[in-house]
Amino acid sequence: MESFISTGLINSEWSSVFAVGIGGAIGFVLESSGFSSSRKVAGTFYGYDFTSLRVFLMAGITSLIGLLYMDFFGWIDFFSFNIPDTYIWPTLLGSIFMGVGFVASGFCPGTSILSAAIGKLDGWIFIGSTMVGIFLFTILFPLLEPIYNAGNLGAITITDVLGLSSYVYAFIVTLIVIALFYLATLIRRRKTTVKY
Amino acid sequence: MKRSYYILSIVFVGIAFGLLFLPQYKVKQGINPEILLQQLNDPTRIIGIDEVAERMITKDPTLLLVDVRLSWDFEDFSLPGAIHIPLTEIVFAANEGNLTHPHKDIVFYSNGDITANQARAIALQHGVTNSYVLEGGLNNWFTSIIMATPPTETATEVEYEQYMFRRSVAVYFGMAIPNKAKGSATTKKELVPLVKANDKKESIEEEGC
Repeated sequence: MESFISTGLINSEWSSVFAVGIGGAIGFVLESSGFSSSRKVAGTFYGYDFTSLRVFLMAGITSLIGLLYMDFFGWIDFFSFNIPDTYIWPTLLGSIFMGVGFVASGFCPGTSILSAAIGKLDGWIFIGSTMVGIFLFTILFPLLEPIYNAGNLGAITITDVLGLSSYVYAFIVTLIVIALFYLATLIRRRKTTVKY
Repeated sequence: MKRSYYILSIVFVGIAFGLLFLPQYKVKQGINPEILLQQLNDPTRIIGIDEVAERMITKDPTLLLVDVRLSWDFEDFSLPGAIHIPLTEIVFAANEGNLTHPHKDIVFYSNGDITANQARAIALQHGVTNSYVLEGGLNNWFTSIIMATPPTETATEVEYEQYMFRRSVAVYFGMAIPNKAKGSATTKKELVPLVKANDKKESIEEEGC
């Protein structure tokens, strides 16, 4: 959004309107694809439905390749994007918690709101639990602060560390994603179909 | 796997493969045009002569004065401690990193024309930040410091202190010119020539006899 606002394509006063429109469109597409069902997301972990994996990885490479081409044509400045610092230990710990939460509930924060929006009870319970979790984190923050700020590696990227060109990196990631799609298909074939 | 998945995979690999053939140079080199325009019009780019003078006297190591005028102008007169980089060579100096001093304030100056602003604009495009332009250039330095006019009787204390400071600066750098202002106590005394022109002429004639 910011790219469009800064280039004058979208007036800043209209940005909220566009944000609501884009949010609604994403919600509509996710709901149409069945992401409001917790079983669909959980299916990735049990091996009977890899839609989530496909959607998010495809979104990732589409945006990566798209942004690099847009940068080449001078429409955006790829290298002016804000890269947040990498906190290695909290990231690893948070990933484990997130994974456990994913497989236990079958939701990520976005899909839970989607589910709640169409009136599903498990979606509302997930949102309520998230609020409780946020509250507990806030209360316990003084104790968790050393972990929260541990292992700051700065604003690093894989391309910086490996010394790769962004273009080569994008190509390698695309090949890995396609390989993962194929692997997911092989696993899916071995599993019996689950109807939900 | 469905046929559409194969087609989609091939399309994505093909598009990603195309990235490998893009030139490695960045299309938008240097500063973003909008940021550049914002920085060019930034009123804080102007640095006052009093501030520069004070930092020169205190020998502030974070101050780097850059004279961007022509070489004969620089040889005629320049500010003490200034380095000379003509406008035409700013690009080379910036590219070679001669202007890249993260802990220094680079102050460009000329005679008071747009040359210093042009130098700063070029430097900005080559990644030189923390650069400034001397307010009014050397013309302003000459009229305000070297030829500082005494304040009138109705002047405020601040104006008087400013005048005293500027006179002190001129004296400190050996640039002071006797004040011709009416009513100044030292005016007449300073203007009296030590040796009369006629005296010298007469003495030469006498020697010839």
